[in-house]
Amino acid sequence: LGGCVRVLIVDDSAVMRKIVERALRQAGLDLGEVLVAGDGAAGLAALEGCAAGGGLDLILSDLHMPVMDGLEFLAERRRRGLAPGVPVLMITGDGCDPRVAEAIAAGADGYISKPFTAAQVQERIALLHLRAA
Amino acid sequence: MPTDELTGMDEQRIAGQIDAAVTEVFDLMLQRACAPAACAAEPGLCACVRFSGAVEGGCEVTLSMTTAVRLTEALLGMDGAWDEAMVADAVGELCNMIAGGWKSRLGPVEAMCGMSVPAIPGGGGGGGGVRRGYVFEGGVFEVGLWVRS
Repeated sequence: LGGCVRVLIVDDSAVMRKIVERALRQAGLDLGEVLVAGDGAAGLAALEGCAAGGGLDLILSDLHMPVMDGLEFLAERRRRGLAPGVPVLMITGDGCDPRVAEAIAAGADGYISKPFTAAQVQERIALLHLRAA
Repeated sequence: MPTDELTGMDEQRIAGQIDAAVTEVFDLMLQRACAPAACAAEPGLCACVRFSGAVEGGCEVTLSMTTAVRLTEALLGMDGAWDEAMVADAVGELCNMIAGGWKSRLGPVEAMCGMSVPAIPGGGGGGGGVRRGYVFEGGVFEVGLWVRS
């Protein structure tokens, strides 16, 4: 995740999308374009747009959303083969939700539990680097 | 039976768990102080998250619009760039994080319950359950939590 990073943030809360974006900047990411989506279905549409219009470096998705939640988003992304090599971090306010493990099984690379600090976000991103190395 | 165990939880224990969850949210997410208060919050805005499964109940946050705006500004790190929908969204997120923090302090069996997405019913809270007040930058907000068997 070096250089100018293109990120997709999927969360039904506009406030949380802004907080996540700020945390990514504070974590030291050189953010380029930040795409946002309010639920999983909109997230898939954004991924389809990216497939046509250029790469994506990181996806952060809320687990718990109306319309299409994070698990369905992951499953559908995998089924459609969208952004297959792009790391995904899930965001949840409920760290003991058993669906976190389901999300990892469905293709997520890790999760961030709310409340979080920029340092914790940085740590998760560093883990993604290690996995990719 | 998990709900039976919860009925036996005393109010003091739940109050301590709420205090710890609120402190964690304010320390990590807002980097601001928040102190327990004896007085009740002025009704204005209320957000609610429901628990279902091993624990049935809910968590709600009640506060005045003025305090909600201060909270939104603190969460977003800005002044003035908010609208009413964003303020309601911020209070919903606060409630969600406090509810999740409380849930994470339960035993492994009770913690196997689901949480709803935050709802904003408006007005004041229900008034039941264990209620805790907090002062944040001169404004008071209240957290209510109830469980039932």
